[in-house]
Amino acid sequence: MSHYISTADDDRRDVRRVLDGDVEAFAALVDRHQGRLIAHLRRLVGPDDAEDLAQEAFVRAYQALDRYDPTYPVRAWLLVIASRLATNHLDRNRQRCMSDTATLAAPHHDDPAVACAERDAATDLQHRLDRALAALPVETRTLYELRFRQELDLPCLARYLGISNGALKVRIHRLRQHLAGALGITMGDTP
Amino acid sequence: MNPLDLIDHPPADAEPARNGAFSAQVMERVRQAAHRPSPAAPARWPWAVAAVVAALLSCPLPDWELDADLAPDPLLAAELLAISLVAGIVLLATRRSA
Repeated sequence: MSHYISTADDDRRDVRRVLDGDVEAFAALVDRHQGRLIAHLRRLVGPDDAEDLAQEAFVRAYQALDRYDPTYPVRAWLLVIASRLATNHLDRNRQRCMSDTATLAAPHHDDPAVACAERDAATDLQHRLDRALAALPVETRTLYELRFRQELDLPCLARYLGISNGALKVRIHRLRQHLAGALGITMGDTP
Repeated sequence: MNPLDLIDHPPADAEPARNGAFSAQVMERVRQAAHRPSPAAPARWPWAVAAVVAALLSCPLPDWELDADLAPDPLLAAELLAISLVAGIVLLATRRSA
């Protein structure tokens, strides 16, 4: 926890330095966040375009730095910028990279019993979740990645998505229901 | 493993190690961007000029030939100019607040 607080403080200090005219201070932000950003983009668009989009995300962030709200983490802000670029990129290319990747990584078995016999149960669940995620529209998949894998908090996510906390909770609840259905479990209707 | 736990807490992806070449490329682009005017701040003066010209064109000018009483005089010219400027400022303010 203290690591994250320290990182957030360092981020804010570096943003302030850049805004005060020290362009080179931006390098510290790039060094600190490039790994997470590239990993996030790899999951959204595949490995081929992830680094290019990560570069673009950093440049866009620099150009918009005067509009950054320091009450939210820099990490979240960068992830949202990268996610928007990924969404636009996929819309442009009309490709579903991860769909292909997931299908290749997890060969489909018509008979679940056969699949379970061949694989460890946890791995099987993971593959089924990956397939369910790959079948989602890119905006919904991005929401899942930001909320659950990157663990952005609700107010931050709602603010960046431009929707209310309530609307976001409903979306997330429906998303969880959908994914649970894909994994063969049922959930209640209350968000 | 509980499937809901898997949905709510998916395993984190392995992050690539810090790549100096990547950082250098980003910083090169950032330095270039730093020397360009921000695209988010386009010049507003063309709109101001257009608004003033539009206001000038919209003002009814007297027909000197038909009405000899309205001979050009500095006071009238100053009034027309003042009206045009006010109209231009109002138009500009309307556009900026839209």
